[in-house]
Amino acid sequence: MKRHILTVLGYTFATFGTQGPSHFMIFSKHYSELTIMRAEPNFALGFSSMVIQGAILSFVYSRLRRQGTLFEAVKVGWLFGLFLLSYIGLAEAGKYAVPDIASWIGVEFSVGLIQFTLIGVFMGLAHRQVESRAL
Amino acid sequence: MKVNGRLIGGILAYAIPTMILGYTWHFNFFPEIYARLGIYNREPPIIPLGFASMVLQGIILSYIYPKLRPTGGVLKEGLRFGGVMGTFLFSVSTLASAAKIQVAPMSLWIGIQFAFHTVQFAIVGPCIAWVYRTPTEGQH
Repeated sequence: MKRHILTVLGYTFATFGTQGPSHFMIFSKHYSELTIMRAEPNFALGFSSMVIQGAILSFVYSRLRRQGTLFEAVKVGWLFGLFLLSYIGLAEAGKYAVPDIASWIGVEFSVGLIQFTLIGVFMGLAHRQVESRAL
Repeated sequence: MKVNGRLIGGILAYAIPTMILGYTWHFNFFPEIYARLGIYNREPPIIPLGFASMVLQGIILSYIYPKLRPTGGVLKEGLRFGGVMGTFLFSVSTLASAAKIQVAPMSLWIGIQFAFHTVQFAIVGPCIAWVYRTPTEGQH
């Protein structure tokens, strides 16, 4: 259970740490051009979304046939990141009137790559640490 | 990633039902509800982007499923897998979207999206599990 809690914490930290600066500092103009964005995001919904995603990622990772290397955890992070980014980067661009589709896809996938690399590292460390102690 | 018949079968098992359900759900069954929610503001929507998204999701789901070493029956394993991955997608398509984009009423948005993903993954989960069934299961 401890590894799942640590993974969720790592997921939340990596997501806030990458998406926060991306939305509110680095690409704030990019996001402000999307007219249906909330002026103030709903943190309760965003936080619950992160907890669900982190818990599921950790649960699935623990059940995969694996060797337990850090790079393997990063690859699983990328896989799940790509699953989410396929929705955020592609499907959302198809449904929301984003001003520049190429720019939208570029920002979402580049920030997502950093985000899910960090998530994979945190997950790998959380699972490896707990599993090695259990041996 | 080794490309084989089952991987492609799994992609189709996800993309085809999702495409049909997604189109009929949004454009035939509940267009008034989505119009009232006012969350999708691109007219007309770009269907190829949605389709590319579905294919990518299908590739990933079809790649992950056999790595979970499912041992139960097609329906049980498919519904379990669908429940887990459907919740994952719901968390981003519905909760994370509502966190950053204006949508009202919130209960209607969450309800209609929950219903959509429940139906979607109750279909695609067993479909993917059927593609990856073992020969023994196929004989029953």
